Amino acid sequence: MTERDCYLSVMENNGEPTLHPSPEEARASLEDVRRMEADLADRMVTPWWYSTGLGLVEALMVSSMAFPDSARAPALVIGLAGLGLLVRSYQRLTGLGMSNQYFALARGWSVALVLVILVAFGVVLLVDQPLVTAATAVVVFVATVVLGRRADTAMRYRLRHGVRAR
Amino acid sequence: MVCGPGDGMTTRPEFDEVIHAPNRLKICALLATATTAEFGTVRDALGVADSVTSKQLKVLAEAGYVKLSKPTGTGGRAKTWVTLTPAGRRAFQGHLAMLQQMAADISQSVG
Repeated sequence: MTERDCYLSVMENNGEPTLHPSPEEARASLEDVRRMEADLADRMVTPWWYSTGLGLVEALMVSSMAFPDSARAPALVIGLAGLGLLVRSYQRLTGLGMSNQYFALARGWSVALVLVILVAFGVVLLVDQPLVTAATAVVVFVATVVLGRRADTAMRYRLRHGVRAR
Repeated sequence: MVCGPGDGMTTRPEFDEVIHAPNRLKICALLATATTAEFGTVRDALGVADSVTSKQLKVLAEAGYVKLSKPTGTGGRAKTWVTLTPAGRRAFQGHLAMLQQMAADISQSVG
């Protein structure tokens, strides 16, 4: 008997585990995992309003850096509240939580979006011009919608095709 | 198969009898990506009855692999949410690595 044969293979049998190692079960189990990930990809279709709402929230938060001191804090609070509302709505709709694994599955697009937002914050803080602030907010909104959708597509593709997150 | 950041190479293959049962393996596979899911979503993904889902989640919860919570104060009927714990994630990744090792052995013996 090999070491591998000694492993306990617990399969469901009317809810009760049975002990019988079978190497072929390993492949069947891996296939189950792959199918579950593909099923998850189908459940994770992000509604159109999510990236649009996220774009508006981020545009507000970036442009709030140029607001007068008295208006900045309320704008940030509104932005954070909007973010919370979006996340809760997404969770209620899909029955799934927000996970940092999503970020890992679409790392390239997610990192690109974070960079755009960081640069936007820098631009608004350094160039204190209303026109520049407005233009930056528009760029953040468009980037969030476009890159967010790309990230969503990449994430679902990876789940469907069993591609490992790097 | 999808693994989280930083795992893979460092995951020690380890067979886990709690996770190996098909429905529990599927639950862990779902939560390994989503981390948190509502009870109804887990049930629908498994395609089994409430009682079966409940039973499997209880076993995972007793092993410390998932945490069940029922957030209140949101209005309406409170729903149960299932979250994969760090211990559950480690156990699932170790189990997955073991399955892959076993499957690779089969491929070699076939080839």
